[in-house]
Amino acid sequence: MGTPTRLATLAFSLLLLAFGAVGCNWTKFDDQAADAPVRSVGAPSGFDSHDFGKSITPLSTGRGSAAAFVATSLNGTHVVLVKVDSGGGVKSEAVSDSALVAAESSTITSVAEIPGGTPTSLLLGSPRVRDQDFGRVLTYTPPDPANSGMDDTAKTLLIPLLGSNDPGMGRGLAAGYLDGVAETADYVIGSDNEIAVVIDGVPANTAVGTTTVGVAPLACDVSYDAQQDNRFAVRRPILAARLWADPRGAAVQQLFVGAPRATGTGTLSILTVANGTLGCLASMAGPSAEFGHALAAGDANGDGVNDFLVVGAPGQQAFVYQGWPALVAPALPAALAITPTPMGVDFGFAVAALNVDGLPGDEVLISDPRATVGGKTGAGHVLIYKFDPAANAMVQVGEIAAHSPDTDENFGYTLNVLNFCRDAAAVAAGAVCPPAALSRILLVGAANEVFVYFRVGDNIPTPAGQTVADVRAP
Amino acid sequence: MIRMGLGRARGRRRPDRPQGGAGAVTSAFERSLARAGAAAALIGVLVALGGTAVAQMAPVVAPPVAGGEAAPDADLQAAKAEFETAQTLFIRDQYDQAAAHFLDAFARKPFSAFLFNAAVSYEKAQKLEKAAEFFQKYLDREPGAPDAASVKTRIEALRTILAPPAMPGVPGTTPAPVTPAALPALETKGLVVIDSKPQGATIYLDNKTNGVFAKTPWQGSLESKPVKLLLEAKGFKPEERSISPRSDKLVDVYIALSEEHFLGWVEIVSNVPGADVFIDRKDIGAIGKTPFTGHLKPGKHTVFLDRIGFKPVQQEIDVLPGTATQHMIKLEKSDDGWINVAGRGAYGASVSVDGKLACAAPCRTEVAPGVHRVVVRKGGFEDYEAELRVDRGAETTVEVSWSPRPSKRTAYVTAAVAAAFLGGGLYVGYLSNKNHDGVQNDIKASSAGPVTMVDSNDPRFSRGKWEAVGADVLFGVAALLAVSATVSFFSHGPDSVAAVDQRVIGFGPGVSSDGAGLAAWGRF
Repeated sequence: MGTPTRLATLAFSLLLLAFGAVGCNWTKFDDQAADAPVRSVGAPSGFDSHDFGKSITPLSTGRGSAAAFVATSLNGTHVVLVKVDSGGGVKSEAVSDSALVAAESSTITSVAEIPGGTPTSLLLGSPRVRDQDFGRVLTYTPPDPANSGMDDTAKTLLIPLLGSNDPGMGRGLAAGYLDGVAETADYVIGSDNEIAVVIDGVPANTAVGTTTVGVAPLACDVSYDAQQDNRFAVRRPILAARLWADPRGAAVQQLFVGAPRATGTGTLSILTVANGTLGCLASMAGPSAEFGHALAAGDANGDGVNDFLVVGAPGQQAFVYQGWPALVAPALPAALAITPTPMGVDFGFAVAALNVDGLPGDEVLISDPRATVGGKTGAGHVLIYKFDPAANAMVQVGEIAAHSPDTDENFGYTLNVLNFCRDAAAVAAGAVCPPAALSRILLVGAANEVFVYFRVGDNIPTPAGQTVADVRAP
Repeated sequence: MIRMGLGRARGRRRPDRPQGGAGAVTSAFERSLARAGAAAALIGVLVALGGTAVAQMAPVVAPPVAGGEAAPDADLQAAKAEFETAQTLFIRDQYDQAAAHFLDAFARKPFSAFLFNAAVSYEKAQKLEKAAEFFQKYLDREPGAPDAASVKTRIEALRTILAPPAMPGVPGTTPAPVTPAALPALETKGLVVIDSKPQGATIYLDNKTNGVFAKTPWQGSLESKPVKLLLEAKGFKPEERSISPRSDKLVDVYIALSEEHFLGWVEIVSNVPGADVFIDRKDIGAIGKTPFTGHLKPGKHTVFLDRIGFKPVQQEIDVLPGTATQHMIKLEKSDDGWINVAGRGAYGASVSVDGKLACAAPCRTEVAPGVHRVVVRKGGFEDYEAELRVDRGAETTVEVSWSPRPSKRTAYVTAAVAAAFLGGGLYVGYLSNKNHDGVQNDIKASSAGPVTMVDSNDPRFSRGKWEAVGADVLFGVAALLAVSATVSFFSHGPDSVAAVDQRVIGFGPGVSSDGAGLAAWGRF
């Protein structure tokens, strides 16, 4: 073999060695994944299959991150605090078993953030303790990076109004300001048949079943049909929101309670606390049994004040009530029915109101987690609607689905809006996020997965040249 | 010109020769004896006994040539006819008639082989007394024949058989019971007759380097195989012809040499005999060794003499037509040495000395005294390389023991696999980059239809990542294989070795059959 051939072979080998040394950079895919406009959050350890993403509660602040939300398991005692940093990175912090010992190994299906505290605390609802027909509500304050010595053990919340054996106690939870005192948050605890209100730490009164409050014949139906489909029986919807100006204060909220049923018609009740007493302002029956399964309030005109309510009626419809804040209960706006085309499967299972197109005002997002998408049964999707004044109807303007839909992925099992603060310095300092740096982003839960959308609206008709920026952009 | 006869049909006549009689066997025989007795020259025959095929020569008496002018020989043709008739009868077991015809042939031409053949025929005919008689006549004419001893033994054996039985009752007088069947089988002899015009030409067989065979005229037996005859006579053009002697035939070769006055006769001698002689060109090979004689065309010629241990010499000679000249060329001892690559394995090897191709082995190359780097290469084997010292006037003989070069097949296969892995790596890397670019485009570009924006769990990330990892693995494996292939390509077996001997070539005074002079010698 001649010397030139040997040298050529040697050069070939060195070339291959160089290839081997340089090679392909596989870490660029990690960087690219981090830059993806949607962050997929997988199930932390301990969650059962098809469990994570079905109980999601956004938190008002990031608790040391740009955003944070709480996920619980529907099949075990697992509570996870998921933090999203300003770059889109995700970190999951599981609440230890010792911190949840009060749950007695029961599932925690409802979570509500108690506003006002620093850090804020959580209400944890466990409607079936030790698999029995009674529930329990716990208060829990996740560890605060700025206060490492705090007690982070969940405590049982005693509610004398409901009694310790009230079936399904904690199936629905809400917290807010119902009586006009902004310094102290009020709790709303729902059991299978009752709604109990704790105002400023003092039990007020309880609405039981079909309760007539206030001026007859107004009656708010707050009973809950625990016999309905298991898909809907996990928790009951209770929404504390301010849809019109209450003369008692700028922070006073109204209470919206859904009462879906297995048969008959579901109802939506509007309650308020006046003089320390929970009263019924209005009640409306929906067209279907599952009416009232999902509730969300939004700002249609972008003035910063909520002015419409979305009510889901899983099956084929959702309803939008708009006209507030000019109207005050018992006056009610006319309902705008939304029926998808083609027909859905569980359309209305989850609803949200969020500005996804960058134009002033929120759009209505309605999910159908069992819809067939891309030929995949049960893949699920979210449809986006916007009010068309000319037609006086809600018009679909977009659709959100997983990039790679999968069978029984149940995309849209939960829909939430998450506050995202892109000001990393403020976040690091624990300061209040500057309004200019605060964005509201979409959180879509699926079976075993949660999608965090840092950018939505690319396919939604917008004025020419307008683009929807990534909330992570500086 | 050449005239050559084989058998009766191809015979020719020599009108200047007296026609032999066709009388009785005895009278013809006696006439031939009388003519043979007048001849003074010696003739030689080859005698084959017991079926052996060994060629033997014996001088024979040359027939008289009237006026020195050769002519067609009618007696020879008649003798040939008789000879072939006798051979035919012999083959048919008609031995009496065969013997008579052999004797008729002898009557025509007194070749002693005819007597021998007649004796063999009589023995076959159980006429042992006549057989012994003609064996004895054969011996009388060929006392120095190579087979004389065996013929004499045969005569004694025949006479023992013919002797009267011993006296009964007398111990020790009973002869051994010998019968003709117990004697070794005998076959008749073939005959080759070579004559020329003029007679006295030198006969060479096959090649002049074999030396002088005989002078014409010559008759005798040769081995039964094709042979080339070369005839030369001073002042005549050399002739050469091929013949095929047979044991049952009389081959008659007559060559009339042409007088070639335009050629010159040269004799080239050197102080050291045995030097290779080249005329005008060396590339066509040596035409003989010194002392060399032959004809050359008139004019100037260049004579080259080569002799190991001596400097090559070339000398211009001038050849005149019709003349005979002798040229003495002196060889001087060489100042150089030699490298001789020899041995059975040398064929197919090339020899380089000091980086220059010297010759194709087996070969000898002349080099200046000193140390030389010698490289002997042969396909499929490791090279032999050595620094060899060559002394003045010495020959260094190199006999290489070749070490097989390891097969490069594994290296080629490994390199091919490495290339395949490289190709696979490039392809998988291409897929990875394609994934990356596709995802990047999806991330940046607005999508039409549903908002199916890329999420961080997009399978293309993991696919592209694993493809990148796979590509790197393939690159790595390819690199390792390439290194392995390189090592294989560079690896070699044990070096070829050689037995190196050096002998000193000298020269000094010497005496040989060719004469006295300087002789080369070697010390090993």
